[in-house]
Amino acid sequence: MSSSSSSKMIELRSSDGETFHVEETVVLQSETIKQMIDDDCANAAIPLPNVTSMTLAKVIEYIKKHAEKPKDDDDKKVAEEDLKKFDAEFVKVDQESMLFDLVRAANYLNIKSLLDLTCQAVADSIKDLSVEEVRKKFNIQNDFTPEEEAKVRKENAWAFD
Amino acid sequence: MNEEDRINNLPNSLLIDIISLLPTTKEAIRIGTLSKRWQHLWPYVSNLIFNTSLDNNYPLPEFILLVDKTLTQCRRSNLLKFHILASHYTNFESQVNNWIRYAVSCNVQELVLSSWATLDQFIFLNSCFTCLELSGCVFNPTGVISWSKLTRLLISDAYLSKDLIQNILSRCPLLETLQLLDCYGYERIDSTSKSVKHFQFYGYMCPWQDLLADHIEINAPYIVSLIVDGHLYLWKLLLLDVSSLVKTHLDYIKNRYDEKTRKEGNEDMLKAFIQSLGHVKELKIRTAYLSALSRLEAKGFISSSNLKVVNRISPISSYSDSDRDSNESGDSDGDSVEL
Repeated sequence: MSSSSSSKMIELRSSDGETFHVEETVVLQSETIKQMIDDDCANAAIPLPNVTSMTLAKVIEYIKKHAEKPKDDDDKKVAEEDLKKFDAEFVKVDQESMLFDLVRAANYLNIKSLLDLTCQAVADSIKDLSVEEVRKKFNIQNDFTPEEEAKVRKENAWAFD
Repeated sequence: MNEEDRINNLPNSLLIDIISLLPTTKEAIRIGTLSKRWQHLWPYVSNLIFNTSLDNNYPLPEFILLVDKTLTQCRRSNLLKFHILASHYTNFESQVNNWIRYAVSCNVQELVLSSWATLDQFIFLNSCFTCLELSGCVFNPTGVISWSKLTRLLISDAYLSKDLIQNILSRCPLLETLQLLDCYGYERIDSTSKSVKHFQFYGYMCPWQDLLADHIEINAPYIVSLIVDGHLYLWKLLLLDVSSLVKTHLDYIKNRYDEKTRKEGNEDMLKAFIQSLGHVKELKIRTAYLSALSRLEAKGFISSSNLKVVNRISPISSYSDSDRDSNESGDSDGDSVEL
């Protein structure tokens, strides 16, 4: 990127102590970090105690891609399609746990588009599963007694047809 | 942290964000039987989506009951999306209007309504909608129209008088995208607001022949993109001032002509389009128009250099994406028809 040379660099530190240098223009997509910069708290490395280096690296990959500005209208259309492809690939993570870490990080860093993208990916992963399959997939303990569960179903019976 | 337990460690607010994005509210309710914790999450979803075709095609009385009952359990004070997609023709407009009243009381931003209903006046005077998709509704406002935050408006299968469409266009100061699908009743669209950048004219037809206009004029000096698509039961669609246009896709099928003048009718309309769109940077037409184009060229017509003939034009409308995708895979009357 040609414009990058003039941009100020911001240092981010993950929960496990790794530091990352990211251009200010890129990192401003995080409302949380933007607020810190606005409040003049970004002179030293910004500590992100809730985000591991593995997750932070992934978040930075995302915001870098989303910071690329198309040059003109033609470019814009190509860029939009390119971004769509990138987003679709981005949420195909090897381990599902990474997806939840990303949801959490996007929420903490307040990056709305990343939060929407990752929440949608989780929703898509459960939408075709039965309740029992979702329990199994995410290790969710069914703490209803059979009577309680039957009652819950009865309350909104239409949703279970 | 145990690998599999990550979803259980998310705060309720994020679980609610996730279940809000399930395809319908029915799914969000169903997921409530996972455990006691999940049971209390769905009433806080930000998107309420009721779709009779996805929700088991309920007969109308049941559908009304289940929506009524569900809404009484909802606890969210601000809604993002409210969708009612009901494939019913029976009159249940008082319920529909009550549901919308509820959604408006929650400052809903996106309203998608597909159902026969006469819309109450309160719907027309509203500053929470940013996106409206209204299909099959009856527009008969009794007072002022004002959608002060609306940026995208899609109306389909509706009678729109000329005054009404002009009234809407002048009372939506932020409107960027206007999509009219098979609407009728008007003969001219004057989009003179600088905010409106995208116009999609998708089909022109009407259940009553005598309400069909012969010509439709579009005057939109500030739009940058125009799509003309679908079946046009029209003699002619005329473009007046479209001087800011950058991108135009023509993907229509003209359906109104005398049998004798069928070819000429197609040629005339295509020629008029190409002539009034010489300044447009990107002009795409379907391959189905190749023969009409070559007939025109044989008569000495010189088509402009910006013209691109393409096999398939991708839709821009988010609303009709799914419908059109299914149409396209089966390849309906599209490319096989020679015009």
